[in-house]
Amino acid sequence: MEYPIHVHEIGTSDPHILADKVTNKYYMTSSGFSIRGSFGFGRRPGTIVAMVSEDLIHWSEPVTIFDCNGTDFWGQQGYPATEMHYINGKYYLSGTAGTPGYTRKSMILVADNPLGPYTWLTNEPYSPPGWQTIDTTLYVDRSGHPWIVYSHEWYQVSDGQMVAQPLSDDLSRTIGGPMILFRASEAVWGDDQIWSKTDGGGVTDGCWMHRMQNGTLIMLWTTRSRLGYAMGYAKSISGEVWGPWTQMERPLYAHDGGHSMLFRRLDDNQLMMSMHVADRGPKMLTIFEMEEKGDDLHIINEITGNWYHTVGGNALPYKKDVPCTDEPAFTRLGLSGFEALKAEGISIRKPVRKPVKKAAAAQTKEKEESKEEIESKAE
Amino acid sequence: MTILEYPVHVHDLNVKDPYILADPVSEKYYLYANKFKCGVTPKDRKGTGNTFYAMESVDLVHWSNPILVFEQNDFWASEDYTAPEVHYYKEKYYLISSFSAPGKLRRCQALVADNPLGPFVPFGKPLTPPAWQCMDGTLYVDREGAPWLVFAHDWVQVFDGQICAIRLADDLSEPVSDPIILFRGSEAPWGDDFVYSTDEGGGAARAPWVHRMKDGGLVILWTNCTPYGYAVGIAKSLSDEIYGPWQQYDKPVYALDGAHASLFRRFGDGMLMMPLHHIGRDGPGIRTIIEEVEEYNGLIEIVNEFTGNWWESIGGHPIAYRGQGPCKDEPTFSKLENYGGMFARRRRVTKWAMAPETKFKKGKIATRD
Repeated sequence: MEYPIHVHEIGTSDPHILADKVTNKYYMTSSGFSIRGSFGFGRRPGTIVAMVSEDLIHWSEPVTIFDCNGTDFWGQQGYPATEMHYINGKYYLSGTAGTPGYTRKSMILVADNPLGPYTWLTNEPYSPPGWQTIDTTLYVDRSGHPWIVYSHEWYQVSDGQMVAQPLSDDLSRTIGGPMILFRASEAVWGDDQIWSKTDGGGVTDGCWMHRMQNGTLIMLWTTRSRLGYAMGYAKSISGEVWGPWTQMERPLYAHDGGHSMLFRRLDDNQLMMSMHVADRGPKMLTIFEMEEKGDDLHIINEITGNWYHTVGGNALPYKKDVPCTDEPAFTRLGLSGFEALKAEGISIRKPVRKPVKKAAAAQTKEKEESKEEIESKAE
Repeated sequence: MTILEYPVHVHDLNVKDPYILADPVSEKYYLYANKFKCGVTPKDRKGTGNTFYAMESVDLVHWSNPILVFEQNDFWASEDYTAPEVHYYKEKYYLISSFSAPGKLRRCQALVADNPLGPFVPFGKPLTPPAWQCMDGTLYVDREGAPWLVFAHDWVQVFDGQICAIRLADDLSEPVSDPIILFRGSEAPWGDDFVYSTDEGGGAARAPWVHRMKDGGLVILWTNCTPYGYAVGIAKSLSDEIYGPWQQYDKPVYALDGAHASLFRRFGDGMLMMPLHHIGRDGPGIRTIIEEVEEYNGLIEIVNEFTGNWWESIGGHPIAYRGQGPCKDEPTFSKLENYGGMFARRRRVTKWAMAPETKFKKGKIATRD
C-alpha cells in the first residue's frame, strides 16, 4: 500500500481514527475528505471510504469500504461521521444514514477486516423511528455489554440530547429504549440557544466514550460557543453509561474546533485525540497528544500543525496566512512532579530542627577540625 | 569600549516585555528589546529589521540610546524576535528569544556574545521541542548547576496554555531531555473565562521567570489574563526543584493590567526589582514599569513602583485613578527600615526597635536592652 497524502493536505470534517492492533495500521473515516482542492475526494455517492496510514503522517488514497448502490439497504444516502470499532474480533462501522423523505437514523455495519467490505447485521435502523440522529458511537461497558450512543439533533428538539441504548451482545439489535444522558444546555460554556448568530448552544455533536486509567468514564462531545465550535467532556458519576453525567466547567478546546475522539498510538500507547479545526474556516484534520491527570484530561500538543492557518475562537487574531510547513513530530514527555523526584532520588525538603545544644556542639567541632587542618597545612 | 551618554529618562520608556540584565561584571544595567520606540535609534540600520537593541544605564533612571546588538543576516528566523532575555552564564552572555518564519512554528533559541552589548551571534539549535509553538524562554540553573529552559507552550496551539521546562546541554546549544509540563493556565484560580473572555482568556499562560528565594524555595512568576486585563501570578514548587509539583497562589502578585515580569537585584543594597509592562489600554499604550519587591513569607510581595510610569498607565480595577500626563516625581530607590515588635520575625533584625514610652504603657514594654 502506498501513502502519498501528507497530513498537511488532509481537510476533513469529523475525522475518526481506528488504531488497529491486528494489522498495526491506522484507519481514518470521516464525513468526507477534502484533499488538494477536491471536496469529496475519492468518494462516489452512496459509498463510505477510509484512508490508511502506518505513522499518522502519511496516508493512502481513500479506499471504498461500503457501497450501497444496487443493494436494498435502508439508508441510501449521506453517511456523516462514520466510526470504525474493533469489538470481539470483528470490525463494526457505526454512523448515521438517511433516505430521502425519512429522518436520519443510526446504523451499524459489520466486516471481518477493517477495509471491509462492510454489510449490515439487520436491515433496520437502530435509533427510534421519527428521531433525527447524528454521530453514532459504540461503547462496551465494564461487564462486556455493548451500547449505542448517539446525538438527537437540536433542530428537532431545540435543546440537543445525547442518547444511549443497550444492544444485544451480537450488536444486531437494540434491547432497550432510548435513555437521554444529558442535554446541550447543561454545559455552561455553550452559546445562547435563541440569540446565537450560528447554530447555538443546543448543538450536541461528536459523542465519544472513554474509560480513563483510574476508572472514570468520560464522554467527549461538541457544542457551539459564541466564538465557534467548542468541545469538552462530561464525567459519569456512577462510572457507567447511565450516569448521572456532570459537565466540566470549561471546554477542552474552543478555538473553533470539535468533533473529537480518542485513540492510543500503536507504537507507544500514547493517548491521542483527533478532531477538525476550524469549523467555520477550512476544516483541517488535527491530531492532539493527550494526558490523563487524575480524572482530568489535558492536551499536551497538536502534532500536525494544521491549526496554524485555521485556528479560530479567541485565538483568531493569531491565525497565520500560510499553512505550517514544519514536519509533524511526536512528543515524549519527561517525568515531572513526584515521579521525577522519585526517579532522581530527591527527597522533599522537610524542616529539620536540630536540638540547639547538639548543633552548637557540632559547629564547634567543625571549627576545631578546620583549625587542625589549617595547622597541619601550615606545618 | 566607548563611554556612553545617558539621555533617555526612565519616564520615556515604553518597551513591551522589558528585560533588564544587572551585569555582575560591569555593574551596569542593560535593557533589551527587538526595537525601541524611545530614544534615538541609529539610522544606519540594515537588513530586514529583525534586530535586537540594548540600552545601558548605571542608575536605572538615565538610559543610553539604543545600541544594535544583533541583526538577522544569515539567521533562519525572519519573524517574532519577541521577549529577549540575556543571561550571564559561564562567563558568556546568552540572549534567549523566540523566533519563527512564515510556515514555521515559533521556537526559542540562544544567541551568544562575549559582552552584554554584543554583537550576538546565532548559536546551537532551537531549544524547544519540534512541532511545539513556544514563546518566552528563560534560563534556569538548578542547584546542581544544570541549565534548564523554562518556556510557555502557546495557548493558540493547545487551548490551555502550559508552562514547560526542558533540560539543556551545558553549553546551551541543544535540549538534552524530554520536555515536562510544569503547570497549565487553568490552574490559576484568578484566570479569566476561557471562552467568553474579551481578551485572550485564562489559558494564555506565558512569560515564566524562575526565581530561587533566599530561604531556598523555588517560585515561578508568570502572566495570565484576568477579566480586568493581564496579571502576574506566582507558583511555588513543593519540592523546591523544577520538577514540582507546582502550587498556585490564589492572589496574583500584580494585577493592574501588567504583564511579563522578571527579577534582578539592584547594585548597592541588593533589593529585588521586577520590570514589567503596563498595557495602558484606552490611554498612553505600553509603558515600562519597574517594581521594587521583597521576599516575604516564601512569596514575592511588592514594595513600591520605582519609575512613576504607573501613574498614567495603570489598568485593571483602579483605571479610574489614572493620573493625567506623565508623573513628574523623580524616581527614587526605597529604603526599608527594619522595625520591631510583632513583625520582627519578618526580617532578621539585630536590634529590637524601641517603642516610645507613654504613661499608659509604661513598664509593660519588653525590650532587649
